Amino acid sequence: MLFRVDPTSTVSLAEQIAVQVRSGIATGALAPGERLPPARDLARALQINMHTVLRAYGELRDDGLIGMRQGRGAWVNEDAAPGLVRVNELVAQLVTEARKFGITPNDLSRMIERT
Amino acid sequence: MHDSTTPPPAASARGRIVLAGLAMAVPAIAIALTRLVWGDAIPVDVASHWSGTGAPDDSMPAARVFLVTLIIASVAAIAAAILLALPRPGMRTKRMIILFIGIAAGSAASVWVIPTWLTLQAGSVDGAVLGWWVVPLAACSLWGVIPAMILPAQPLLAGAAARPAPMDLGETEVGAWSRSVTALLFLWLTLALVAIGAVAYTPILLRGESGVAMFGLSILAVATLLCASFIRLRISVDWRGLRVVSLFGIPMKRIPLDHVDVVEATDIRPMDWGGWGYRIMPGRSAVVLRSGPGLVVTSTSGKQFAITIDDPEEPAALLQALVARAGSRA
Repeated sequence: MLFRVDPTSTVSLAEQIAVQVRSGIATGALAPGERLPPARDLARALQINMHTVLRAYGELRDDGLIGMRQGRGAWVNEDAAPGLVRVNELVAQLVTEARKFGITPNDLSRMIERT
Repeated sequence: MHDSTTPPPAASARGRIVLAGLAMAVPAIAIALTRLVWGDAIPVDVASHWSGTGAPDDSMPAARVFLVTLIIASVAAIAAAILLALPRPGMRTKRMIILFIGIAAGSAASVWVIPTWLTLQAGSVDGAVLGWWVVPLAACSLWGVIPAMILPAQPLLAGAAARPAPMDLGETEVGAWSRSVTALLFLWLTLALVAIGAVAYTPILLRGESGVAMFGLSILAVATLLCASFIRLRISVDWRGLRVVSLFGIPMKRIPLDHVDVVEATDIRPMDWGGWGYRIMPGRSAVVLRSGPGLVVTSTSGKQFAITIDDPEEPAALLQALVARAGSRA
C-alpha cells in the first residue's frame, strides 16, 4: 500500500493518512482483513511522529473501518468495504439525480465542499 | 531481464569468447597432434577397458578409437564455435551447454590419448596397466569447466520498456510503500526442518541420551527459527530505499536510495536468478517466491537484486521518484 503525505498541506497528516486508508478500502487496494502497516513502521517510513499515525488509525477504528489490538497491530475490518460500497452507491445515485437538473459532477463537488 | 539473447559484447568480453572457443578446440587438436607425433609407434590395437586399475580387459583397433574420438571432439569444437557466434541464447545458457560439450570433448580426448599412450609405452595391450593414470583419465572429462569459466558474464542490460516513469511526487510530499508477503517456500522449508529434527532426534531424546545430541539439536533449532523468520517478509520503498525485512526485523536486503542505479518492473523467471527462494550469486541476488512480475534494482556497483511482487509498477515508480529526488538534492 502506498502512502503519500504532504507535511506542508493544510490538511493534518493524520487526516491525510486516514483518507488514504479509506480510499484504499473503497477501491479494494486494501482488502477486508488485510493488515495495515504497524504504526511505528509507517511513522518511520513517512518520517512522521508515531502518534500521528496512531491518531489516524484511532479515527479509522472509531469509524469501524479498521480493528486494532495491542500486539496484533491494525487490520481492515471484514465489513469495512460494504460501508464504503454503500457510499459509492449513493454517490452514483446523487450524480444521476443531479444530472437530471443539469448539475455536473463538478458543480456537485463544489456543493459538497460548501457543506 | 531474459537470458534469451546475448547483447553485443565489449572488446574484452569478445576476447574471452574467442579464448573459450579455442579452449573447446583443444581436445580435438590434442587427439590429432598425438596421432601425428606418435605416428608409426601407435600399435594396431590399444587397451580400451579396465575394470580396476590393473591390466586392461579389452582392446580395440587404434584406428577406430582415433576416428571416433576425433569425430566427437571435432563436432564438439565446431558446435561450440557456432553456439558462441550465435546471438541466441543468453550467455548463461551458452555457458551450461559449453560445459557439457566440453565434458564430451575432454572425455573423448582422454579416451584416445591415455590408453594409446599406455599401450604404446608398454609395448603390448596386456602391459597397459592403468594405475594412477585413472586420475587424469577421469580429470580430462572436466575439460568443459575451463571454457565455461573463461566465458564472460552476461552483460547487464536493462530493457527500456520495463522502466516505469517516476511517480509524480510533489516537492514537499513524502511517499512510502510497503507490502507484506507470505513466502510459502520458507514455510515448507521450516516444516521440513522440523520433520527432519523430529525424525533424527526423537529416538535420542526418548532414550535420554541428551548431551552431545543437544548441540546438534540446538543448531537445528536455530536454523529452523531462522528459516521460519523468512516466512513473512515485509518489502518497503521509502526514504531508506528498497528494503526486504523478515519477521523478526532481520533485514534480508537493503538498497539505500543513493545506491540505486536502475529500477525495473519486469517479469522474473526463476531460472535467470538461480531458482526459487533467497538466491545469492556473484553480482546478483534475488528473493524469488514465484515466477512472474517483480522488481529488479541495479545498484550503482553493477549488482542486481530482484524480488517477485505483484503489481511492481507502483513501488518501482515510487523508488524512481525517490531516487531522482535524492539525486537532485545531493
